[in-house]
Amino acid sequence: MSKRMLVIGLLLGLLLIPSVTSLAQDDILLYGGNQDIENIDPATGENYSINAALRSLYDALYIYRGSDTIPHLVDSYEVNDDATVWTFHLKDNAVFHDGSSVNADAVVYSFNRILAISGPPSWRWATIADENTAAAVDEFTVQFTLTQPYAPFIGTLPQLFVVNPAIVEANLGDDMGQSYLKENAAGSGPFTQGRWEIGNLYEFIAVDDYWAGWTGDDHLDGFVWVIQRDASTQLNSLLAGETHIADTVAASDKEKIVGSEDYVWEEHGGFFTNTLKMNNTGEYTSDINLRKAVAHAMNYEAMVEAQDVKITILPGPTPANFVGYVDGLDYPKYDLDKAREYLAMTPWPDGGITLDYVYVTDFPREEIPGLILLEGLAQLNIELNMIPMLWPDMTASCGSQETGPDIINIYTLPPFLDPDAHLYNQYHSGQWGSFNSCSFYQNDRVNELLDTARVIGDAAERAALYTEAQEIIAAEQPSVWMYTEDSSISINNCVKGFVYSPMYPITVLFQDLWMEGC
Amino acid sequence: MNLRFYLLRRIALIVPTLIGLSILTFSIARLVPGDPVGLAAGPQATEEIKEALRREFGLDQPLPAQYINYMAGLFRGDWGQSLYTRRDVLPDLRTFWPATLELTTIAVIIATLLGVPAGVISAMYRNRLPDHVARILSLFFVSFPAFWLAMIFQTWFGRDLGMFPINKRLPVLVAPPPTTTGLFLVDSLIQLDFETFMVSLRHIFIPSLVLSFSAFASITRITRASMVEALEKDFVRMERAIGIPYRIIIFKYVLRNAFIATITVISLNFGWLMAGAILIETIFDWPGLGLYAVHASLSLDFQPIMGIAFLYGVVFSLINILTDMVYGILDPRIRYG
Repeated sequence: MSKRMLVIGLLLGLLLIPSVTSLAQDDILLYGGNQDIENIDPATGENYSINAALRSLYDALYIYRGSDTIPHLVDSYEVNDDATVWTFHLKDNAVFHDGSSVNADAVVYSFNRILAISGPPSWRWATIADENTAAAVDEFTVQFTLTQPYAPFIGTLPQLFVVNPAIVEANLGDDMGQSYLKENAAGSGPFTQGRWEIGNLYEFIAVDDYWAGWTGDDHLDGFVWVIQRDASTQLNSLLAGETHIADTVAASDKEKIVGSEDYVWEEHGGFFTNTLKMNNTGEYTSDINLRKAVAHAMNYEAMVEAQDVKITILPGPTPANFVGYVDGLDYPKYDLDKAREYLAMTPWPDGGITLDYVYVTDFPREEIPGLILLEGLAQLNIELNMIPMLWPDMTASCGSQETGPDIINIYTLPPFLDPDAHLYNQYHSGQWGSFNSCSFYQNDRVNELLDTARVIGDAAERAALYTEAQEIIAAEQPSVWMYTEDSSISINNCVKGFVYSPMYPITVLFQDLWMEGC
Repeated sequence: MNLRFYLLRRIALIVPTLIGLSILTFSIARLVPGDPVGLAAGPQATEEIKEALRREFGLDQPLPAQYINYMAGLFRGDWGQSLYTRRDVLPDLRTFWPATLELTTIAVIIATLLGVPAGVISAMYRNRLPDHVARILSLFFVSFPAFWLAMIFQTWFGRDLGMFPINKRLPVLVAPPPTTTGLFLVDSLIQLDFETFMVSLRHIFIPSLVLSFSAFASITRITRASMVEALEKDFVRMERAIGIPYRIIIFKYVLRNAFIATITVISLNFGWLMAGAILIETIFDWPGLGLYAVHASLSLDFQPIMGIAFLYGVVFSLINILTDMVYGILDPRIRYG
């Protein structure tokens, strides 16, 4: 018996001996990412983690740095008066990882491939371009002749990642190279692929002589995107020194980061916008006064206290920090007397009705606003029926006016820095069917303004059109404008060069980072 | 009926079971409301983009045609492609399944090694202190949610004490052993790479220990109950009367009699733990099938859902057959029929 115990003791002892393998190397950044990188084909992949990988492996015509859209492969450009013909002169020193030149033909090839495949990223150009749109004028000049004028065109170009045509053609298969490119890069970006363990981790290795150079005092030798889905695991890994950045630590753990000299809690205002979309064609919510009553029954300040993330209440349809924001709009505040006044002007002056409130199952950030609204509406004798739903079911319910709920809680993130990106998909009736337009709002003048603003190049003229559109939208209250979530990311102090960009609020621009004494 | 015929019959019966399972899974996955295409295409997708995606994945066809196409592909070895990740399902299952299998197997081994002795001791010292301790421990482990225990163990042993790794199957910067089985413990031994074996063992220890707790509780309780019942049988009295040492009576005769029920619980737990490993996989970033399954289910990603259901169907069926065979080994009176 004692021999058996000895063997068991020895085995347990062996387990406790710390591994001799080093967990960290000086200039390899370990990044705890909440989400997988499922696909790195620029024609079919698009979400925050995929985009972080694409920015690292590929180059695009433009890139977001901070709040600016900066030319990247582009040296200069011209546009005609009606914003239909865009001519870009490319930098002549950009090279793919195999040493071949990133030229106009490659840009044309990449653009046409995205259109032909019609994957998720193609929506930006699907209605304004066809197979004849892109053309190489000379080796380093590419011209886009759009099928209709589109002033915010440059805003879409950070998503136009340029692939190496020779590599794609060599691996074309019968699906235009999709099978190959979803796991293999063919780019010119600051990093190449290292270990690629699906569903676990992804290694990126720096290209020392990166054609665009490195912006910081130094640069990473590489980084590893380590999938860590649980917020507490992210925190534990960061504090144990197993990662250098954690992208989704819970706000309730903020003090554990802030309280340490070794870490920094980066918190910034973002564009991640929450609204309660009211079905403007619904039995009750088609009544403008009822919508106003609902908007005034929402206790916005209570929501600031109740949410587990820092939020900023929306002052109208557009966040105050987003381009195109109109100052001074009359937007609703929590005021039950005013809510009763509006309700008195509806066919249901004493309430007695029930409204459905749809939110994502088991997602307290969407459930809590519903509970706060429930309390406010109860004062008006309106019952709020809380309906949790899986996200695919919610998007399906937004497919038609008939199935659209009375009120649905929706988060949106404008895909590029232009008022068009925020307003068109939410308030133009041509967008009905998408969850962004689940309020089924229709106003012909707003449609006209949003359409017109797309086709003129003059910034001041466009701003005036967007101002008028927002004044109308604010007056008609199609949604309850709730808040924007502040972004937070936890970083080891030894990581340098972080600059927050609201266009990728959950992650970082790896090519701008370096490490000191990690 | 001989064993070979019995086995062939049981394996043949898996086929109609799987067809039934496929119809059920297909119906549930396809008839529940939801718009997986809209989700995969992204929030800004035009109707044309969604339509192209539906065509590409054959979702524009009638449901019976979709089912037949899927089954035909299955028999050709084409398990379809994820609508969301665009990866083929079969290679994904090959990638993720071994991690879950390894985690579950170690958990069941731990639960058995701890649970059976605990049950035996509990029965031997019925209504005395060791019995009370074992029963309280069982109650504790079955009552506390696994995810909570996982977070506590991770924080204590991983972060605060630094005794065990916080997550993953290996340290991030250590490459896995060359794949033979996908089970790191086995593959590292095949390569005679003992350092990777030990590192891998350290990584799997806490997740599998936490995962084993609920199985430990049920194995302990069922072993105790069966032992108590067996201890009251006539043959035990007779063996004691003729002076056979008590330890030999317990381990050679009573436990063997009582073990049939324990084997049933162990095999059931193997299936349950495999299906329920999701929370442990999430907290310990264990790249297994649980996470894959949850992601597929939440996004109504039809082909992976079907693939996972098939895989689990096969595994459960095989575990049942294996369990039946073990019955026969433990008790030769059991005949296959």
